[in-house]
Amino acid sequence: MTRFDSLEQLEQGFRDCGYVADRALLTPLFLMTRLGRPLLLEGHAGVGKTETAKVLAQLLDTELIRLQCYEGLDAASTLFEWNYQKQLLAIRLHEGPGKSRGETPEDLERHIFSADFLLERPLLKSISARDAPPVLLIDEVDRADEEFEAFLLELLSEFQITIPEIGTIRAVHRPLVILTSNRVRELSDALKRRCLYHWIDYPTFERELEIVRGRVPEITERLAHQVVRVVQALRTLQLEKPPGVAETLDWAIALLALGHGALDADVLDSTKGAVLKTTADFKLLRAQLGSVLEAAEAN
Amino acid sequence: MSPGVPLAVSDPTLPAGPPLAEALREKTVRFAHLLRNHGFSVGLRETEDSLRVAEVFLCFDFDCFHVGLRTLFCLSRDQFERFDGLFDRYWRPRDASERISPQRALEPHGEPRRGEALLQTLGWAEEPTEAGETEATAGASGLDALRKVDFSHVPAEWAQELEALAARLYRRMRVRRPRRLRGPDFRRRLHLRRMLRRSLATGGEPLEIILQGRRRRRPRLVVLLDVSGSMEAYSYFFLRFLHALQHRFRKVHTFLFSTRLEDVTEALAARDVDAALAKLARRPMGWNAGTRIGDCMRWLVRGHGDRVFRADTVFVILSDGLDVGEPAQLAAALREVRARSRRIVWLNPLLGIEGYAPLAQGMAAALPWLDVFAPAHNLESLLELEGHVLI
Repeated sequence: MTRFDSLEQLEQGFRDCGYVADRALLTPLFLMTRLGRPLLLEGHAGVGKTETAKVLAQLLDTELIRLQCYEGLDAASTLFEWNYQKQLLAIRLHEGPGKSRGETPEDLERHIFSADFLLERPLLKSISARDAPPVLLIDEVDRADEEFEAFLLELLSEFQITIPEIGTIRAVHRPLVILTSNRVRELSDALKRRCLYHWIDYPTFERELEIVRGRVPEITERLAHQVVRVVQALRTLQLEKPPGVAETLDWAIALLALGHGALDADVLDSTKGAVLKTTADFKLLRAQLGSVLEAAEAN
Repeated sequence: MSPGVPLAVSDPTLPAGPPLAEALREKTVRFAHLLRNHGFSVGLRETEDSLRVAEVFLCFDFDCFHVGLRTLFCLSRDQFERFDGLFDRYWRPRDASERISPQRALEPHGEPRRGEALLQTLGWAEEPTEAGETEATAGASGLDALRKVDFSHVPAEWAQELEALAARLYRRMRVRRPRRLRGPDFRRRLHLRRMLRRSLATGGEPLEIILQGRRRRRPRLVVLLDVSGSMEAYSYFFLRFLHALQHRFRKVHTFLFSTRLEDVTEALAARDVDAALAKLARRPMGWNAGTRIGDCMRWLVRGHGDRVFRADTVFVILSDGLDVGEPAQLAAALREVRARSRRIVWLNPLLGIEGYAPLAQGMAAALPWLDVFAPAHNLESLLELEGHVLI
């Protein structure tokens, strides 16, 4: 499958993969495959930005190529590198006694600068796919430098890469590009304008409950309710690191593994590390424990 | 890899469905214009794509049409709410009075952009003008004025707006690394001597490539902020600025001082600026009681020097230089800092005042040791920091 006929089909596909997504997220995804534009996903940590790309690749039965961005990301690790050691070996073999079968130096040069000696890095890999358009996930693009952003902009409009020794490689299939950002740094308007934009918010209570049920099927209804209520209550506090959906799931699994059937003050205290990640947040929880537990019992 | 093969994904053919009625096309295009007049960045390409969104969705799901257009026209989450409002008023007005048309939008509208309202109060923004294009320019010049207002003259009720603007600008502040990323870096040359030496280990085969020159990285900063009484008007804004800096450099060590020295690096590390400041406020400190720059700087070097200074550290001091200590001591302390850091940058809010000369004893004694002596009285001067610290 290389495209979706309808939004319902996409929705069903995501559901089958165990990813509960609402229309607000699926619509941009659907449009992305239609308009051929990259999609920029922003949202808090742990709301499933990266997962979206994975599921999309799985659904389309295509390759997921992931580029994790960080400060100082350079061309060698994004585009291509020559396999220098292998080239060196090839030259040595060529020089070996009785091995040169009348090859000229020019032949050798052509040989060691051929595709066999090229190490493809994610961006090159994404445009040289032959069978089907791959999904290219450019994760946390806000962590890379402005220079990389400018370079990316060029790539996203041309979909071609020039390698001096080989020539220009043009995309046969345009990759489906998903960029994610945590807003560490503001992205340039130029990049944003090239992309479709969507902000993934925390899920509503019902939606999150559905996610927990889907991913942790063994959980009891009561515990699932409690877990989701508490997490939703926690998000309303002024936490340093509010828990994402990933934390909700971690916590639910942790509670199951420990054999807890319901939440109380002790259980919450002993497993809080699955949901909260800083000591300051622990303190805040201790101060607000009463109201948080109250939320767990609410209907 | 051959060119010319049709791109499967961007293939615009559509599932069976009626072609978009002319009236609807027109209405969609009008909506794009309306958005442009309301400050959204809408170009020809967005307008074209909006028609395709309409073709894909309008016939079967209105909500998807809504989300689809939003995804196309909005550049950030902040715009969602405004978009939703406009969308509803344009596409499904509850009654005639609510209906909005592009013509109406050309009138000065009741939803000024964030910050704009303040600027109009201040008399900096020009009166709202007729067309969208000029409106953007008016906004720009207004914001320009806000960037230039002296921190010590910002009345409390405007502070919030300035903070919002500052937070936005800080996030955009470019701390550029000098090396450009184009293709692979062919310009760097092989470090032959080191490669030969290394190749001995592999039987004379140079298996490892070593290039000349080092990659430049973002500098480390050590920041010393004066929180004494004379700096009170500025301290608040500077603290917020310093918080914004935390994530823009490789490592930022932040110290506050007046008559004592206080390491606040950890408190400022909190992600949320208000949480960080609240944390600071809870710490008992002898603030607002005179200044002993020289002593504090020496305590810094003696007490924390080994930990915070590296060869590439840039030392930034934010102070008005009004010192009650001995000028000679300040000079001596600066000499010590000098020996341990790459560069000393002194940002002085008084420099923004016309006619100010660094004649105060302390300041005069410090001058010879400084690499950069620059003003820091408004947003604009703070945003210049990049130029001062990149080596």
